[in-house]
Amino acid sequence: MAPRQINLFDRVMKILGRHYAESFLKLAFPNTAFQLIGTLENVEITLPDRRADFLHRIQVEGEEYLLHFEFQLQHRADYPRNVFTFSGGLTDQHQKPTITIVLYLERRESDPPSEYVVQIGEWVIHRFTYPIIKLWDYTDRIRSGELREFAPLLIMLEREKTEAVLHQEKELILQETHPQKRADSLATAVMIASRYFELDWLWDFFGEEVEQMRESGFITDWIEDGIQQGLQQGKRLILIQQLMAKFGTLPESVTEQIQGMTADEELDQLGIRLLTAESLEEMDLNGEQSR
Amino acid sequence: MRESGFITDWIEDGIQQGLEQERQQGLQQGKQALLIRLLATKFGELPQSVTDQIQGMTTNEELDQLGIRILTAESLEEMGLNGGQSR
Repeated sequence: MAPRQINLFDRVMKILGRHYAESFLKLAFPNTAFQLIGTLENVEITLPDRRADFLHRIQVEGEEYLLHFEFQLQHRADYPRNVFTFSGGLTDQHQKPTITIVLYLERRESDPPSEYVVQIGEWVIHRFTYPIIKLWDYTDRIRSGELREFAPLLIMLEREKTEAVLHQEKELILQETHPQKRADSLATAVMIASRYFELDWLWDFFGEEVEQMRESGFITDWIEDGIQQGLQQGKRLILIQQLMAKFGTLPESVTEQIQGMTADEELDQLGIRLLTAESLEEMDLNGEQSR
Repeated sequence: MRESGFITDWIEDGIQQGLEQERQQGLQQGKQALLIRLLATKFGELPQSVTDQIQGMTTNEELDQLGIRILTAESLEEMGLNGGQSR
């Protein structure tokens, strides 16, 4: 699969995490009534190259927590450590306890780990656990309509990616009476199904519903997300050209460092320092992750 | 027959071209925003005509050149930024 498609898919999941926070929370903690009290955007984390597009703020029993969703397609061996450091970074930065929930999207036979452990031989020194949700465990409840908001995910969760599954998806989605929610689900269904089916075929399959998708706010989210990504890339391109004009050929490590910068303010400040700086070192651009 | 329309075009663009159109639009906005901030840092508050002039620049060459000229220019005039009066 092309990396670009992975990227788009990743964005679809992020949009779901943003819009369906309460639904996902219910999967992880069915017996606790959390109240969603806000969402933080573009969260910088004091770890090199880490940032979250958004974090939810939730409240339960009078206490406020940060809520972070991680969507995983495949399991990576270093993943538990990542969850641990990421949660630690967020806690440190926001001085609030952080709840990280990991959602696994593609069926796998063995259970993914749900803890980060530091041990010496058999001797466990530290243990950091986190809830994981294997979304494929919920296909029956999605089908029954109880978790209808997750209907667009069915095709991904089922072992067999068949037209029959897509039919079920479509039926479930069309039961939604709220036009906006229906449109969001339809748009999401097409995006996700495009991993497994040809687009031309999908357009025919969703032919009658395509016009309804116009109502979807997700589409606007995707567009804005695209503009925002372009915006930062525009700044990076200007900065790299300015740096080259001033200091000559750049070491690859420096261009990589700039490509890794994802905060508007960080990019702007680099430009401002560049107006007066006499050397790359002076600009803290030495290709090292010194942040 | 496939429907043609905003939504099909858009999603297809999104998948096949990686949101190129939106990215391109964002790219120029990002360049303009950074240049305006840098110019204001170097030369103080900018006349509206100058910010308008920059926001009217739509080619990458134009914007990139401006970024390089700002490194050495001593004034807005030297950069050819006069609110477009002599352009």
